[in-house]
Amino acid sequence: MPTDRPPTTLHLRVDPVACEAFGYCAELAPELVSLDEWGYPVVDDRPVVPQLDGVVWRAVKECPRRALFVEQRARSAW
Amino acid sequence: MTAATSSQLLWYTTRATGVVALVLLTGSVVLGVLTSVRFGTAGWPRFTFQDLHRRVSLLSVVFVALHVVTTVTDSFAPIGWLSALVPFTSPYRRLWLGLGTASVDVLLAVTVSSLLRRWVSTRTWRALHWLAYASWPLAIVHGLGTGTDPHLRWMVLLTVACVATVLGAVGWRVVAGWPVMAGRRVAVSSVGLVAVVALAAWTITGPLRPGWAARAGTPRALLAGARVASTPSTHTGRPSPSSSTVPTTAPAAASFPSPPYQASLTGTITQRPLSASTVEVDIATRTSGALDALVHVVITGTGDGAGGVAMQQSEATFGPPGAPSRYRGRIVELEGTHMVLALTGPTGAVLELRLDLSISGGDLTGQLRSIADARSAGGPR
Amino acid sequence: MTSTSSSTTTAGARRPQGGPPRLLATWLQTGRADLAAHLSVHGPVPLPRHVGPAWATGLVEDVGAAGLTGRGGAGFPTSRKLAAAIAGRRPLLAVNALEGEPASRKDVTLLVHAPHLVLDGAALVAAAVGAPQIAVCVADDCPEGTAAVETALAERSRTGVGGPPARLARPPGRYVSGEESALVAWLAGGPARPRFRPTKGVPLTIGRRTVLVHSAETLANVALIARHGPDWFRSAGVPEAPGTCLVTVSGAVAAPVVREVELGTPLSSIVEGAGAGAPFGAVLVGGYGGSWVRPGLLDTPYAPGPLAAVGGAVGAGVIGVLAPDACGVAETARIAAYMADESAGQCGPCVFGLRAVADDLVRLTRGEGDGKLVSRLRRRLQDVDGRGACRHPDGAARLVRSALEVFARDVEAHARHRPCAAWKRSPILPVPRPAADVVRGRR
Repeated sequence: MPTDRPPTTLHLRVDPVACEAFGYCAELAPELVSLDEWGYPVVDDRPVVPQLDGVVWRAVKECPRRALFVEQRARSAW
Repeated sequence: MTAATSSQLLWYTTRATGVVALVLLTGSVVLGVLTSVRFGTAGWPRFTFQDLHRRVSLLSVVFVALHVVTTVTDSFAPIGWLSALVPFTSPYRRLWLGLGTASVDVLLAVTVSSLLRRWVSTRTWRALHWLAYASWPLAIVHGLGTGTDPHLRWMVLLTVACVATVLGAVGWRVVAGWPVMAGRRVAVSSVGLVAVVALAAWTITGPLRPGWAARAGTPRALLAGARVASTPSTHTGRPSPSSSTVPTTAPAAASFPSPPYQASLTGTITQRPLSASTVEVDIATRTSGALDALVHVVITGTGDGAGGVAMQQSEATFGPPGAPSRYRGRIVELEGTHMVLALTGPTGAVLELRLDLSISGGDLTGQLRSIADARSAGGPR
Repeated sequence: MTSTSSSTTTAGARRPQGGPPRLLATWLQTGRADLAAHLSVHGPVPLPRHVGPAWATGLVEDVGAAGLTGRGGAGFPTSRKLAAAIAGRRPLLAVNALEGEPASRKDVTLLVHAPHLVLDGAALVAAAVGAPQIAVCVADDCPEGTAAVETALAERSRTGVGGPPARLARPPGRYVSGEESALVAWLAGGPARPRFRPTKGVPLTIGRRTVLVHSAETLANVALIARHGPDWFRSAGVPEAPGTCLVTVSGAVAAPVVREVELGTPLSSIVEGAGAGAPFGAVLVGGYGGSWVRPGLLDTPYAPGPLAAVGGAVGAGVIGVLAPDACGVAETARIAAYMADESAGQCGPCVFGLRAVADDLVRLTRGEGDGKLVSRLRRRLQDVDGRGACRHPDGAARLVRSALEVFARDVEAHARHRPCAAWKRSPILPVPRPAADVVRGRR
C-alpha cells in the first residue's frame, strides 16, 4: 500500500453518565460534536482526521466533567 | 530609618495585595458561577468563562501568596510562617487573622486539586470546589477584622461592592435551574441573606467603631506607644508606630500610683488625611516625674483647612509603659488644646483626666491632671 | 401455572418434535420443588470431589457444544463467557434472577419450581471458574422468590451439597437493576444503576474482584447439560438455537402463564398453547425493550435468527398478545411512559429523550398531536438510540419504532385526530403505575 496509515484509528467518544451538558465540546470541536435539543453532545463516531487532532485534545481537556475521551480502535478493513 | 522604610514597604504591599486578592477572589467566584449556570454569548462561548475563571483564580492565588509572604516577613506584627498555614495560631488578632489563614488553606486545597485534576476523582474535586465557596466569605471577614483600613470609606465601599457582586452571582446561581433541588436552594438563599445581614451588623458595631484594633486582639505592645518618628506632613499610615521606634517596654508597672494624678507631659503631635475631608490627629505623650505613664490620643474629624480639626471620633489610652492601654476611653470635652478624657480601667473604674497642651510644630508639652475620684460606671457625661 | 413444551408441528417445515419437560421437570413429575424431589428426578449434581482444570475445561466444552446462549436477554454464547472467566481472576458469581420486566414471570417460576436446578448450575459454574462465593440475586419485591431461595439454600446447607457458599442478595426490583453492570454496582454497595463501559470486553469488578453474572435460567440449563450432555441438549430446539427456554405469555390470554418451549416453535403455537384464542392482534416479543410482530407474521419461529428477520429478538422471553381490535398505540404509549419512568437518570438523552417520546405518544394516542408529531418522534428515536450508558434507551426506541411500523395505519389515524375507539380501554399488557394511567388519567 502506498500510504502508511497507522493500524489503529482514533475516535472521539463521550461518557454519557459523566456528561452534564456544559457544551464546551460542541464549541471547541464543532466539526465532530453537535448538541441535541437538550444540550447533550452527539459525537461523530468516524475516525478523527489528523488535522483535527488539536481540536480534539483541547475539547477533551476542557470538559468540566472529564466526560469526553479518545478511543483507539483497530482500523477496520473498510 | 531603613528598617522603617522597608517595613513600611512591606506594610503597604501587604495591604495592597490583600485588597487586590480580595477583588480577584470576588471575580473568581463570579466567573465560577457563570460557568455553573452555563452562561455564554455568541462572542463569548461558554468555555471561555471556565478558562477565565481558572486564570483569575490563579492570579488571585499569586496575590494571596504575596500577601502572605509580605505579612510574615514584615517584622512589625508577630505573624510567623506557622500562622500563615495553621489557622488561629497567631498572637496578632488571632481570630480575624485565623480566618484569613483558613481562607488560604481552602484556596490551596482547591488550587492543588484543580491543577492535578486528571488524577483527582470527580467526586473529591467537586467536594473541594464546593468548599471553595467558603474561601471568599472568610477572606471578606478577615479583611474587615484584621485590616487597619476598614474605616477608610473607599475600603468599606469596595467591600460592599464585592459582597454585592457575589450576592448577585449566588442569587443567579440559585435561580438558574430552579426548581431542581428547591429545598437546597431555599436553604442556601436563607443562609446567605442571614449571613449578609450578620456581616453588616458586625461590621458596623465592630471594625467601624473606634478601638477595634485593641478589641480585635492586636498585641498591647503594638497598640499605643511612644513618639511617632515623623513630622506632621508625613505619615506612616499606621495607627501605631513602627517597631523600630517602640521604646523598650518597662516591665508592667506593679506600682502604678492611684489617682489623683498630676504630671507634666512631653510628646509629639502628627496629623494625616484619611480622605478628602477627614483627618486624623495623633497625640503621643509621656509623663515625667513621679508618675511614669503614656498618654495616647487619636482624634478623627473634619479639617477646617486652617490646621484645626472638628472632632467626630476619638480614642484615648492611658497607662504605664508596660501596659499603655490599661485605661481606655475617649475625649469628652475639647476646646482648642485643652481636653478632658473619660477612661475606663480594667476593673471598670472610671477615670477622668484633664490635659492642657501647648503645641510647637510637631512637639507638644503640657500638663495632666486627674479630675475627682472614680465614679460608678454610669455612662458618659 | 405451567404446562409442557409445545410440539405442534405443521407439515412440511422442520419443526421441533417436543420431548419431556426439562427445566420444570421436577415440578411436573412430583408436584414438589424440595431437594428430595429434585434429586429423585435429576439425581445428584455432577460435581466432582476435587475440581481440577480438566474438569472445568470439560464443562465449558460441553456447554459450548450444546450451543447454550444466555437466557437473560443478551443471548451471548455461555461457553465463551465461562472461558473468559476461567482465564481471568477468580470471580464472584452472581445469579441474576431479578426479572425486571413487568410482563415476565419466568424467574420467579424457576425459583419457586426448580430452585435446586438453578443452584446446581451455580455450583457447577462457580466450581469451574473458582468463584469463592455465590450471590443469588432476587428482587426485593418478590417475596415468593426470596422464600423459595431461602428454603432451598437451607436444605442444601443441611445436607451438605457441594459447591462454594451461596447467599441470598436482594437488590431493588427496578427495571434496570437486572442489567449486568447495575447489579454489580449494587453488589459493590452502591445504587443499582448501570455503569458506562467504554470497552465491552473488560470484566465487571467490585474493587479488585471480578464478577461473573449469569441468568438463573442459563445456570439451570448448565445443570442439565452437565448431567445429560450436549447431544441431549440439542435434541430439542433447532440447530441454530438448541434447547428450550421459558416464556411468559400475557396480555389477551386467560391469565399470564409461563411455559417451557423449544426454541424454534412458531409464535402462534406458543400463544395458542397459552390459551389465547385466534385471531390475535400484534404480539410483543422480547420484553418492553423488544418489538412488535404483526399478526400476519405469527408463524415466525421463536428463535434468534427468524425473529431478527422480522425485527424482533428472544430477549427476556416475554410474549405479550394483543386482541385484534386493541389499540397498539395506546399500549405502546403506556410502555414508553414506563420505560421513561424507569430510566436510571444518569444520561441526558435517556432522561429527556424517553420522556419526550412518551409524552408525544400519549398525545398521539389521545388524538391531540400536532402535525409534526410523528416526524419529531422519529427524529427523537434516532437521537436517543445508543446515547446512554446502557441499552435501556435503545430498547425503548426499538419498541416505539416497531410500533410506528406495525401499527402504521393506527398511527396515521391517531395523527389525524381520529383515534380508534379502543384507546380508552383498560391496559392489556401489564404496566405499573403511574405509567398505567398516563393515557387515560392524569399524571
